[in-house]
Amino acid sequence: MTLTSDFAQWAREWRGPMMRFAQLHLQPREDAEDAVQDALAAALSVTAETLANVDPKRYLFGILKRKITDRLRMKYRPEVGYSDAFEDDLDNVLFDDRHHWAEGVAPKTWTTPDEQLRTEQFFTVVDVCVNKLPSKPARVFSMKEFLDCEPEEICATLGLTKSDYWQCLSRARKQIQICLNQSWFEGSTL
Amino acid sequence: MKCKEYVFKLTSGQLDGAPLDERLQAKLHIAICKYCRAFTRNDAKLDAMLADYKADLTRPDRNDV
Repeated sequence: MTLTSDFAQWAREWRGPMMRFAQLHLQPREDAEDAVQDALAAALSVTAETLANVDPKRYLFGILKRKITDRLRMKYRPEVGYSDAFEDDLDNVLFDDRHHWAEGVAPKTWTTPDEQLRTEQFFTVVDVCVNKLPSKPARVFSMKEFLDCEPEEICATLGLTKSDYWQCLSRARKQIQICLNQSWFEGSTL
Repeated sequence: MKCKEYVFKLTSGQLDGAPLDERLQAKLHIAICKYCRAFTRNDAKLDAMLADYKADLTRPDRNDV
C-alpha cells in the first residue's frame, strides 16, 4: 500500500462521519462540505510514519475541529448581542412567578435502562431535540458538547460575553431535557 | 436559592467553579426540592447520552450522508 492509497482509504471511511459532525455546526450543507474538504486536504500533509501510527479518527477530527471553529469565527465574530436568542423565554414556561417549577412541567428522574438509550431510535430522538434548539444556543451548545471547546474559546469565536455564553448553554441544556422528557421518557411521539 | 436560579447555575456550568457558599446553597436547595433533584440527575445523565450520540454520529459504518 502507498501513502496515497492508504490516505484514500481513510478519506472513504471517514468522510461520512466527518460530514455528519460538520453539519452539526455548519449550515448550509455546502459550508460543512467545504470544512470537510479543507480538513482532508490539510490531513494530506501526513507523513507515512504518522499514517502508520496515528488513530485516524482522532487525527482527522482534530483537524476538522480547527476547520469548523475557523469558519464559525469568520461567520459569527462580527455579530453582537445575543439577547434575541431568548425572545421566546423558556423560563416563563418552566417556572412560576415565585421561581418554582410550574405545574405540569416539574421534572421526574429518568429511569429508562441505559441499553435503551443506545439505540438508533433513541439517537433519532436526540437528533431531533438537538436540531430544535434556537440557532444561537445551538452554536454554543454544539461547540461545548461536540467540539469540546473551552468557554473562553467559544466566547472568542462567537463574539459572546460570559453572560451570553451562560444564557445560551443553560437554554440549550434545559430545552434538550424538556424535549427528551416529552419525546421519549414520558412516552409521547415526536 | 430558588428553582429557577438553581437550574440556571447548574445548566450554565457555573456551579462547577462556584465559591463554597454558593455550592452549599445549591446543595441545600436540592436537599429540599425533589424536582430540582430529579432535574440534576437527568442533567448528569444527559452528558452520557450526548457522548453516546456523538460516538454514534461519527461511526464510520453509518451510511446516511
